[in-house]
Amino acid sequence: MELIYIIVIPVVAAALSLFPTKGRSFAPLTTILGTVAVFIASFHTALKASTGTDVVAIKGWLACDAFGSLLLLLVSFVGLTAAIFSWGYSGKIAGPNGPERVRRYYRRYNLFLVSMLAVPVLSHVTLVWIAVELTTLLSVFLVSFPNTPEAIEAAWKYAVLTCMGATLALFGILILLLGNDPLGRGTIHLVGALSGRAKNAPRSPADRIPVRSYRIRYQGRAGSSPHLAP
Amino acid sequence: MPGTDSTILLLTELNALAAGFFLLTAFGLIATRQILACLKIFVIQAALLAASAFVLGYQNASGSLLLVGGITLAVKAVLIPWLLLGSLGNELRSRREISQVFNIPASLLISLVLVVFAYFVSVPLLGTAPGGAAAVNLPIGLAGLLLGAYAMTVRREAVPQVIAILSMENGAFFAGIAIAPDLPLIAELAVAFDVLIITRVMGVLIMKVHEHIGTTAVGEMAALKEE
Repeated sequence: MELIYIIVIPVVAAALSLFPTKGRSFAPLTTILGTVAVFIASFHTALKASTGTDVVAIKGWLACDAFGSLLLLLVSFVGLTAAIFSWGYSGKIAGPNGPERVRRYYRRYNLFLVSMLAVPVLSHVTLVWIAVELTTLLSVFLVSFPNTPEAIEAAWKYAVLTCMGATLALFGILILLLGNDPLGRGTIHLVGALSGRAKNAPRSPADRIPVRSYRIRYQGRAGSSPHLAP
Repeated sequence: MPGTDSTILLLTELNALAAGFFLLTAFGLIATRQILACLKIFVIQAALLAASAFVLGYQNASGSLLLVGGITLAVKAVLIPWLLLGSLGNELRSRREISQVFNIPASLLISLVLVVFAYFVSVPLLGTAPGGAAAVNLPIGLAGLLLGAYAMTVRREAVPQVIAILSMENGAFFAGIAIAPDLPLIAELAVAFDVLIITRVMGVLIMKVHEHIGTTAVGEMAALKEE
């Protein structure tokens, strides 16, 4: 059940952030409360998963094992701290039509958070890839938010490089399917595959390629999180 | 479902023909100097990807592959060019040369090396391949992926860079239809949707670049370079 909350809460926060209010603090407060709730839910998931049993919300779609819960905990913690930091940052950088831009910032921030949180909890490896790709596309406009030439340049380079990386990762996933399951049914647990506990044990050297590309993606992602609120 | 051996042979040959032309279009994307020509070659490449999916779908009697072909044709050969022409029509029609880091003959030689490399890498992977089509599609798909990555790296214009990313996606799928033919449909639909979002987001970003920097020659953006 926690996993469903983890996905739904930021979506609700994104919808609420659009709500036009007079003051500037409604969207930031909603987002901070949402991220606190997500962090608590992630902590709970991690406690459950640390006993060695997978936490399953919807069988075959939403599930999380111990390693996934560690990632979940990290993402939700960074999400919480970045949400707190964003309060000052977004107000300072919003410019002339401030309140409207702040609302837009928080909508994008929450949607970006959903895509980040979806990566460790989705069970289907191709949907994981979609979520990874969406993290890029949803964060591009957060990078270009200050609207200066430097910010636009950063956003362009970021978008181009990560889209390229995601395409290479797509190829990696297809090779992983080839190596893991000749019929390519595609229901393998990503995190299980990473930690060498795939449902069908890896059989070929081909398995190593996508694992590496995933690690690179994750490392790249961890590096880009602070980029959110520079 | 094809019955006789000669039909199977014909289908295999047809797939190989589509693959050959696919590789040719990947080279074409590197060799062309005009933005609109780039887009046209991309459309042909997407159509060839769809053709290969149709042939393999018929050969394996796989409904999902036939549908992949249909989705590819609708999204990559029709919707994406339409989106790009709609939002960036002036950019696409401007008849200027795309500046490249290397000149075209040198680029083609490097591409040749990349294709050889793709075959070299594919051979050990093919040990686990399920069928004959993978022996054609995997190396050529990988080559398409690498050539797209190369084109993206050397081009200094925004629109050709986006087209190169989309052609990388074509390459990955060209291999994918042979090595993972039974990918669930939801994944195919999601990827098609995702490609559309990429095009839209990049289109908006290109307009922003144009608005703030006055050009779409993204190679000139160097404010963030480290000394």
